[in-house]
Amino acid sequence: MKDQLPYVVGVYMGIWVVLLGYVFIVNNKLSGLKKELGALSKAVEKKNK
Amino acid sequence: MKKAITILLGIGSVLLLTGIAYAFLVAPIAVDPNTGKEVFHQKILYFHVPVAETSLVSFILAAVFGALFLYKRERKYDFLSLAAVELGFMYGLLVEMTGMMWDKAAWGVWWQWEPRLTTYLILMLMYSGYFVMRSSIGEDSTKARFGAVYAIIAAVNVPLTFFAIRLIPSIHPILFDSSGAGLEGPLLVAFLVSMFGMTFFYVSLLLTRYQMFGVSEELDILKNQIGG
Repeated sequence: MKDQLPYVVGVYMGIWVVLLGYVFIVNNKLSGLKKELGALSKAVEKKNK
Repeated sequence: MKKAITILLGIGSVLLLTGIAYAFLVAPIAVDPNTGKEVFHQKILYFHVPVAETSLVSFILAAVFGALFLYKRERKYDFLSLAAVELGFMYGLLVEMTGMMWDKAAWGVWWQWEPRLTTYLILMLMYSGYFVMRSSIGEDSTKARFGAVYAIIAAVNVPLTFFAIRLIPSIHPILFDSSGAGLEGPLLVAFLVSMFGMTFFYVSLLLTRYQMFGVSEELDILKNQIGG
């Protein structure tokens, strides 16, 4: 069992790190895009006035 | 949509953590029927198999959305198809990585040229071509059209990968066959909880990525308006 433990731990740790990393990166990027979209929408509104 | 994504992500995370806890604390260590020895590395399958199934389903979904795009010509289906290929590819990389760890723990080597691993590698190479193809096309509508066709053609390899170990003799374990599941009792419960958790988690990621493409396109339209 001891010799197999590092592989089992590696699998579980690896998957969590990749999945949570992906969630963090995508959400971070999405909120950045939304902010930019909000700012640009205001700029377009001003331009149209 | 944000609320739905958060709920799906929450349910997925809770189920995955429950699956892990159940797999390690409740489910007994499996015993090899041939040698009678305990096989601790079997615990890898509670995560490895759900990740693998999710990646294959994701590639099939990409083809379905691709077909819907070709039929309806609505941009949202292209976004969904692209998001599904992206996630399928990411999950696929995880499958390869965790599969190699299984190989090392179970068979003592990092790689075996057996049907499942080989067909999965071919599948991944095919989908890496999808990204190369998309990035080499400039115009969005052509990119979407070619992407949809590619996703449909590449998906033909998915059933081949799935059935490879059922059709060709292989040392890769078969979890589900015509006689039923290769797991029972607490082992099956741990597996199913992880499977459902991974599915919820995947759907939340797919929707987040889809939302991101939508916002990105809106942003491009606005930038063009300001530029014009």
